[in-house]
Amino acid sequence: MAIETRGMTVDDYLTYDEASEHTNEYIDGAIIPTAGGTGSHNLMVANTTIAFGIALADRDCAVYGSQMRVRIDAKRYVYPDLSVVCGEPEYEDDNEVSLLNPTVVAEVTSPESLTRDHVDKVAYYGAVPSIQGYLILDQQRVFAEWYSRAEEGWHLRQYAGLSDEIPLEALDCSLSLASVYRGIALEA
Amino acid sequence: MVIETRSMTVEEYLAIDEASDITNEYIDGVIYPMAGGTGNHGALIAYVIVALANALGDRDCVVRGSTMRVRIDASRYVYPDASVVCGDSIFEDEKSTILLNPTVVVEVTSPESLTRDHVDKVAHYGSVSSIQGYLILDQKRVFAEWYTRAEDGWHLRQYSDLADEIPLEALDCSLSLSAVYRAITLEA
Repeated sequence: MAIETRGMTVDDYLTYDEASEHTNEYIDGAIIPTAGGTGSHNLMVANTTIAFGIALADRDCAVYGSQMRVRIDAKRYVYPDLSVVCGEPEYEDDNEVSLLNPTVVAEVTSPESLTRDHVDKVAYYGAVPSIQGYLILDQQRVFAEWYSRAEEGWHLRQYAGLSDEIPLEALDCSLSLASVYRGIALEA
Repeated sequence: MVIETRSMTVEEYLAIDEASDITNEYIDGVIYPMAGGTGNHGALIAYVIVALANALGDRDCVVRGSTMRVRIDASRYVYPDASVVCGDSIFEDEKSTILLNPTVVVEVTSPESLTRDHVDKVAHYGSVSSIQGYLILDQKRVFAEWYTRAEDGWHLRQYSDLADEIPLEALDCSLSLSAVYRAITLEA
């Protein structure tokens, strides 16, 4: 999946990503192209964006889509499927292309991204102090994991019922799985 | 990996598992033969069992190996790579082949088991009320996840340094990653 494994600099990556037609993540010198999503993936990201937008309507929070690059640290840049920023967004650069302070990030898993989303990104997002919550939504079945920042590590809850409401404490709102999975064809 | 896709009853599963040379898990009517581990997998399991036994000292706890079947619920039976029981062990059957009350369970991941161990088994073990902690050890790199039961869900911490000590609150002891990963050939 990584197209370049040896020592590509951050500057090389940023130039490459800007010139690229799709988005690319950068992890420890390797560039990882973000796979174009399936219809289900796109619809779930859209549903979730809408649900967040409605839930946060009158708050001082903004919802960003899949094109918003987030800086993890000096060696890691990623594109969450969705980011929420409460308060003023802060960027690394004048062009506002690398977000520094998301409050919540979300990933919709594909079969290929399961391990990255459930293991690696839990560590990456944990290393960004502004991130108070990380939401993982499974594309293949009704299944969500909500990580909320604990004093040390994360507090993890799992949800598998279409009638479940996830309490997003960090955003002082909740998210219904029914709204996220609307129109999604699920495995039997 | 799945050898039989039609729904099998628990009785059929138990008979097959007993007659089998290898261990088999049972999830919702499907039998999953446990892959024979690589050298690293087996060595890690051995070291973690030794480290747990050392750490537990003279506490009223026993460490059980990879052939101890654990009942999750009426439709799920699994074989953790190691289990710890504090106090009396309670079994479902008179032959003591099905443990009902582990205090802590351990899985050593292989590349094939990553998603099952990090996602599905987090849910399975979460539904067994006796289980206070779930330890996942990565076979490919120094990386551990320690899930402790929280009021609602899990508290998750990740460790990736050979100098790290994992505080196993549920067992009132700690586990050093250097002891677990001793003599393991790690990927560069």
